[in-house]
Amino acid sequence: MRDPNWIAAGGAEGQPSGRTAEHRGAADGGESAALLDADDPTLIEACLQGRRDAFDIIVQRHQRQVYLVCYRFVGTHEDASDLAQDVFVRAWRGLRGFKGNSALATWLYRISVNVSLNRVASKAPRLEPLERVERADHRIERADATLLRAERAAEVRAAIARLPRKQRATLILRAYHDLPHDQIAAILGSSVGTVKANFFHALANLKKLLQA
Amino acid sequence: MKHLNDAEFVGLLDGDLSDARARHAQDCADCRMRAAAMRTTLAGVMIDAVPPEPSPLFWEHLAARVAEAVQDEEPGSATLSPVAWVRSPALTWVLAASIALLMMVFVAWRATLHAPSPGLRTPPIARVAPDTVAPPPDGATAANFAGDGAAAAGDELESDEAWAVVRTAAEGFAWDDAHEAGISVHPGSAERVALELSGDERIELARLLEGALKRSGV
Repeated sequence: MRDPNWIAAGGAEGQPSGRTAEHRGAADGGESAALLDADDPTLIEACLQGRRDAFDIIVQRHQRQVYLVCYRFVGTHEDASDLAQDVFVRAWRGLRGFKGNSALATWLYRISVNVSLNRVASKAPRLEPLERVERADHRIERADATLLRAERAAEVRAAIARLPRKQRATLILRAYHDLPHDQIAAILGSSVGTVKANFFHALANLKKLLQA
Repeated sequence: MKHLNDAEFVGLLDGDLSDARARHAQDCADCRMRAAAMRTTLAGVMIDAVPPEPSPLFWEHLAARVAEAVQDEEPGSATLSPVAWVRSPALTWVLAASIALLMMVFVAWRATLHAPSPGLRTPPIARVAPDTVAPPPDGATAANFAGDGAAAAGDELESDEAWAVVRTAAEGFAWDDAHEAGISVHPGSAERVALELSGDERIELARLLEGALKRSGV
């Protein structure tokens, strides 16, 4: 069930070279280079001491995870990139309030989910356009596995977008980000039992929506 | 045996269910059917497991955008949102105390607003016991009998602008016009009004009536 694009918190897989941090850290000599290998709590501490290059590293380390969560909610690259930027700006502003009771990744997930839910609550999701709008007769004529799969994926996205907020968030975090129930509970501020119930009802509702 | 509950169905999907409950899930046709439906739906969800991949340059661009957005801000510069203010216990108490104080000030202000002014307070003579009151001397009017305190109160009432306005309006009042306009006095109205007057007001009323009687030659 794990998303192949999932990047573990603190990982650097698939990330750019970190030029921003290196560029900024040039004046600081080897200090920035040392930060590249630092763990998240060390980076947060460095941020609070005024080291902006430490936050650059945090962004590079977690931006994929943040972007993908946002993308799951809003469905377009443009909106997801705007939201991802918003998430990191909020994280920067709230950094002093981060007590370290949970992992930085969990905290960023929480901000991402809240920002995304607020966005989708304020405007209808605008899903990426797909060829699935073609008429059925054309579809039959051009039926190939890739197209049918894309159509089905679009239907699933549309159905997920119609789920209640908590069920939607739970399903996305569980199915697409493969997060354990207790971490989802920490992100959503609920109990593990509630998370399991939400996941169950999300699937039950999706079944109805996809059959409709 | 009881059917699986919501959490147990999720546990079954995760492979995290006790042996006894897992056996029930196998033996019970109803639970087996529901679990199969969940698995099918989840498999359908996973069709969309791989989202479109952004350009490799996007990640560097996003990091640069974030760096630019926060360049003029200090870390941890977020202010408390209104909800956070309310959720803060200390601030909640301060807010509650402020509201209570405001309510007390408001009540006190209202009480002051409707209380008679010090100059119009009923003179002590009104509270004198009946057996201590000497009978009025011959020829003395009610107003004269009220004594110096009542006279002083009457003077203050005379200088009261609000009372002057009422009196001026009453002097220009044409009873015939009022009657034609449908404004009439109901039986007992005068008595009720007289009972509601304060001591000073009754004295002033007596003085006005006496003056009017003298002018009319009655």
